Amino acid sequence: MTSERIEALKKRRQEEMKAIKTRDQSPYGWTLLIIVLGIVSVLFINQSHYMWVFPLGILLGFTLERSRFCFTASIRNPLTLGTTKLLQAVILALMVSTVFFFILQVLTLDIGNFLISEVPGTLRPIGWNTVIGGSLFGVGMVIAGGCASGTLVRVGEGFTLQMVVLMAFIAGALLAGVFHYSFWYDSFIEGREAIYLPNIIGFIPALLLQLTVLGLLYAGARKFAKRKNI
Amino acid sequence: MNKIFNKVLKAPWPYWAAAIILSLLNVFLLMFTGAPWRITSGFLYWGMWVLEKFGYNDFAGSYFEIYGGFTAGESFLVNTVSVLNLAVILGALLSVLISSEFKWRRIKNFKQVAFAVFGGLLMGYGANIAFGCNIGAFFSGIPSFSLHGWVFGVFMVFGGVIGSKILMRYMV
Amino acid sequence: MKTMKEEFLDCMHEACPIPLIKASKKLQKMKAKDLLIMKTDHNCSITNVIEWVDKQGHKMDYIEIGRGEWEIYIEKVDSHE
Repeated sequence: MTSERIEALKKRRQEEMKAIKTRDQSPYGWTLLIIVLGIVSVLFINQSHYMWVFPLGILLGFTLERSRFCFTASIRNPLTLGTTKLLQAVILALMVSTVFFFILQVLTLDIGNFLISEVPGTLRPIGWNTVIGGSLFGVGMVIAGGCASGTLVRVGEGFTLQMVVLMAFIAGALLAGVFHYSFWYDSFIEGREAIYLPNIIGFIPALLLQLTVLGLLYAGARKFAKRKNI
Repeated sequence: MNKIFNKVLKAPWPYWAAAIILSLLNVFLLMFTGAPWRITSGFLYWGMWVLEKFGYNDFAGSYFEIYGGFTAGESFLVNTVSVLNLAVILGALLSVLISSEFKWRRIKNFKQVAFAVFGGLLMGYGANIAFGCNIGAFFSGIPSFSLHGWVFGVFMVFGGVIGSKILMRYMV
Repeated sequence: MKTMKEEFLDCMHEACPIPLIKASKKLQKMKAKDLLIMKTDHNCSITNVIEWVDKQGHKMDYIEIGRGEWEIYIEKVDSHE
């Protein structure tokens, strides 16, 4: 909602801007798009290993950037500003994904006769590594001003600071994934299997439980935003 | 006509629409490539690739040694997640160029860099011991019905609370 | 006649989410009908600010003043009005 005074200021600025020529970057954009489409075509013609990964990645980056979607902000904003629209959107995405993944899993698996390694999706064991890793990641993403996906998007937008974050991310990854990994693997990962919810309570109950929990979180987020404080 | 097209592209897309699109894209990734969206292993791959170029190659006991995905001497583009990450960057670049919002945003002061480095290190370390980041462990793990996604998510929020306190106290 | 102040906030090159937090702090100290004009080069500032300003009940609009640069106008509305 705006006001007369604001609109007057804005109009004045718009007049000033008309006098200055700001360069239109879209020609570069369209050129890049043509290049991207060219690469995608080549990948498909060659039935390359990457023919889906590349275009889907492009779409992911494009969508994240256009919508200013940010996982970090979804958790940080409720705490610093009291706003939860992003958090609601993240929860919504999880609910929609849950349904899609569920359908895929049910269609793919031989129910009652499958190994965890056959389940489509990302299934990993749980241990103190998950607890500590999650906590470290949570602290890091707020301090760095963006999560992993956010960092990739900001690099694409031209933020040199996020290029620094990326390099530090890689350094941290090397520390954990190469130099320290034996410790974490031997202590908390080796020999453990992922815990697949449908294996514990059945497929339909798992779907209903997960959607219910997410639904409650969504409602909670909406209610949280209504509180006037902060 | 041009105006309408630009409005669709220029105005920020609503969060709920992005939520649905991202979910669809993730399940497409899973359907067509066998694995959903992840990011962190791609960063580890880049790191190991660079290390290898500098002559380091003692990767015994490392993540890729156990789970596969890295072979000495291969190209930067062989790992799937590496390509996926580059595509995400490219997609974002495409978005800003088409809407004329690309700007080389320089760094303001050393304090920013210090927090960026500290934050990045924590993220890289945490994500690698936990089997993923906000995308690999959280955004893909929870819909997969793997409990590790929920555990990661809970503690990611916990970490976020601590991080926000640090942010408000030292960074504003 | 009550003078309506205009405050300026330059948040160019700040790390996310500094622009909005600085703006919210500044607005807290301002009086009703005062105007805050902030500059930012974060495109997430737009969506964040719109959401926060709507929640607080202030009036706002914005304009793009360059490639990837925005000027945001926020007029404080007294919550007791």
